[in-house]
Amino acid sequence: MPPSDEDWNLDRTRFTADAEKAIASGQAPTRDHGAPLGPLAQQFATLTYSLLDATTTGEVLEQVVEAASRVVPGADLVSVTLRSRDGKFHTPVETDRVATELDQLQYDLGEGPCLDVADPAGPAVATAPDLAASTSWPRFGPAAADRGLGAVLSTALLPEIQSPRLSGALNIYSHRQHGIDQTDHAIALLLATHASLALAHTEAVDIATLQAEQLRRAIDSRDVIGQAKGILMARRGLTADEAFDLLRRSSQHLNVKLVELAETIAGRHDELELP
Amino acid sequence: MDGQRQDRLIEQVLECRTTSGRAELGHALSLVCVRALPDVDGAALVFYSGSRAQELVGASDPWAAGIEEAQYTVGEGPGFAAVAAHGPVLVPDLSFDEVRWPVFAGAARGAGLAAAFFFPLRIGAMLLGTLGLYRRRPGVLPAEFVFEAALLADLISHKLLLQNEEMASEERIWLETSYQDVNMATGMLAALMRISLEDAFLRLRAHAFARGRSVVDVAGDVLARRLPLDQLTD
Repeated sequence: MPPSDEDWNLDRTRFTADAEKAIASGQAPTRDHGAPLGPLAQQFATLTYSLLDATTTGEVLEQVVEAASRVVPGADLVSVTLRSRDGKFHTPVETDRVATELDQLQYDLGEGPCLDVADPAGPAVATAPDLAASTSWPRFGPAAADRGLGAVLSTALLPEIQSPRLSGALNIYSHRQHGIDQTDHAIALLLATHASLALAHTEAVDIATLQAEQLRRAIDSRDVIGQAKGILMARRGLTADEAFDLLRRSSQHLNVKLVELAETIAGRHDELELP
Repeated sequence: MDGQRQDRLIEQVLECRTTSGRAELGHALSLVCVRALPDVDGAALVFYSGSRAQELVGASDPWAAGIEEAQYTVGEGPGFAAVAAHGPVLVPDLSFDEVRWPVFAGAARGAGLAAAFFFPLRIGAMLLGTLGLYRRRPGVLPAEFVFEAALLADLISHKLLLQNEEMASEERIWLETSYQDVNMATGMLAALMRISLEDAFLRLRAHAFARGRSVVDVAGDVLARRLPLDQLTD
């Protein structure tokens, strides 16, 4: 469940109350470790821990994309754009197919919010509350609206602030016009900051490394997808193709990645039943 | 190696083009190795995941593919050693290395292998698998060609990466790979016999080894439901 506006306001009040108290007493704000964190703060705490565990750029980006889908209330589609030193754009982690298409559309048209913010000299945030009526991107706006999108928000990712060899954008799309509000902006900025910090701590960020990581993950997922197919074949008397279809349909239906579903089936093959 | 020869190797690897997927590219790349290196009778490319072989990407001919399948079946050999070491493993005379890999050496010598040279397929520090070079007669790979083989392994890694990028994400998941039957049979056995996946894989391997068959063939029998389960309980 993404946090609501109310959660966000509560969290914010809690944070500022702490600071106000400190200002009133003339002391530095103290952090009370005993105080319960609000839902948003909890999600961020979890994200921070998992980002610290992530060792590769690909892992960081995947987690940020997943976190954005979870904690940004207005987010229907999320993607990440990276811009390499040669000025080329890439969508380095596989997310939603439509989001990838929308990013590609911007690369092809040479205009759009993710291009603006991925430019190291560009703005930190670019947004179109109503894509159909966008004046900033006269070609991308209507084209995205044709694909059923209402609003977009791109926030800059700068893994190397000193010398931006590689820069990028966290892109959040909503199906609704004006579907992205101030709360979404605030959370997206926080996420992008977390992501930039985490990226700065991973090994050298370059496109070839990211592509190699993708290939590595594809190889690693072979056995688990095969095993899950075999388990379904045995339990349901299916053929290999039928088993794969069931996996794919279930992954769409449950909105989890096919590999993750396969891992769950393989990891708990004696207890789990698919719907 | 002179610059001209180096350029020619680069050209040969990068110009390998196929229309129908990774196995065919793997075949073409393996042939480049066989042609470029002296006295090498066969070559094969294998992807590993952790310490496990995952996929025979391609081989120069069925003999080379069979050597890799034998290594996959017995679960030991110079290819596994190259993956563990993240570096080349050179075996100029397999009869001297019976002690290191007795099961593999037995199976491979039976198939006519006398010497083998394994080079890691790497992108930066990331290991993808191995390039295996096989010989029917014993003998060292001259230093000059060890260098060329290492260069070929690097070029091939990048070529495979480029091809992976060209495939759509859907195709990457769909990809039916050479050892996929073994993974499916493993899952099937685990579910039917209510044992762990690790145990199921070991039983397939043990059955194949005891019958002198390839684990890929045994997996095919399991999937076709031709192999009664009680035969796998020993």
